[in-house]
Amino acid sequence: MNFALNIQGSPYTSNSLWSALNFAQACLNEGHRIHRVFFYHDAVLVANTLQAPPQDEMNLTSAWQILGQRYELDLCLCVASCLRRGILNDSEAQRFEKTTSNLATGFNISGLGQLIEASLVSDRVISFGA
Amino acid sequence: MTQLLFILSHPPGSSIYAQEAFDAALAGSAFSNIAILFVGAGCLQLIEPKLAVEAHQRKDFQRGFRALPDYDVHDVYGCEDSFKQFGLHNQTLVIQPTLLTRVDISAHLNAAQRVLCF
Amino acid sequence: MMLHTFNSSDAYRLHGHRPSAEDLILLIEDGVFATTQQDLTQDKRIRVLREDLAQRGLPEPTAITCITYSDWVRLTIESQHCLSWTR
Repeated sequence: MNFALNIQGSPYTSNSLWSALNFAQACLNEGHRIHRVFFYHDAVLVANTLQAPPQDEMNLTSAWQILGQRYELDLCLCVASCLRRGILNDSEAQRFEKTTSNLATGFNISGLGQLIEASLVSDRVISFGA
Repeated sequence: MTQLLFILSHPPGSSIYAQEAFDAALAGSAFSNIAILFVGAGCLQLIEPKLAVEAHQRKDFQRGFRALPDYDVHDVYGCEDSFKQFGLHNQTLVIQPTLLTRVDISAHLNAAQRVLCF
Repeated sequence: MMLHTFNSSDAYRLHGHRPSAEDLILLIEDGVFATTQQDLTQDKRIRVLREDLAQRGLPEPTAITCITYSDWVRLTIESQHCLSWTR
């Protein structure tokens, strides 16, 4: 089966990014495909490469990067959610004349159309609310 | 046929959640035949904001509900039980959705191709 | 059949749309605290995510089916839609 994940919760005030990560891992272990993981609302904050969590805490961002790389997942962030919250790739940083970009590797920024397309073509869409 | 049913269940007010959820529904309308269902505290989004536009700290996104027909969105539903729970029958609403009973909601969920929860 | 996930006990108690008799209910995240607050054993539709109980130091309640993430994946396949209810 083909899944689309719609993740909405913030990294530190919600469990949704962890739940989705474990669900995605279980899904792939069971031999299913994940068409796209779409990060919306505060969930885009997971892709901020400027985070520096303490060494003795689990690193959610790298956990997603590792899973994404291993299974070649499309980890797609909503551009409008990103711009509001200051998650910028190089081209957006240039466009808004910011001093730096901060998009973590392995993630990409695109539009809401990606969520809609993923929902329509996948067999199941699973929302992980805030 | 409804390709995408958007369930909006968050209240307006302190978070931007409701506004962004509505943005997702509008994006959905550009690509597919959608329906919107207001459930639980999400029904509170339908109350007409009382402040002048310039007094709002947040965008008065609910005005966009009136434009839904322009986006070719005609299936806008509200949960009847939630309307009772929040006393919405006596409120001035931005738009009046078609109210659905619990049984009606199940039927609409069954008929929808995909459901997106916000 | 629909699968309704609840991620807080408030979401479970207060949500607007009550699941139908043939639906399944899955308590995840802080939704697992509902097992400490009320007797859920009469409702045979309820499942609880085992990992989230363990994360919060809660015992697995007897007479309620506790499931793994892999079970959750299988339930989503058996369900027509998966509905996420949050606080």
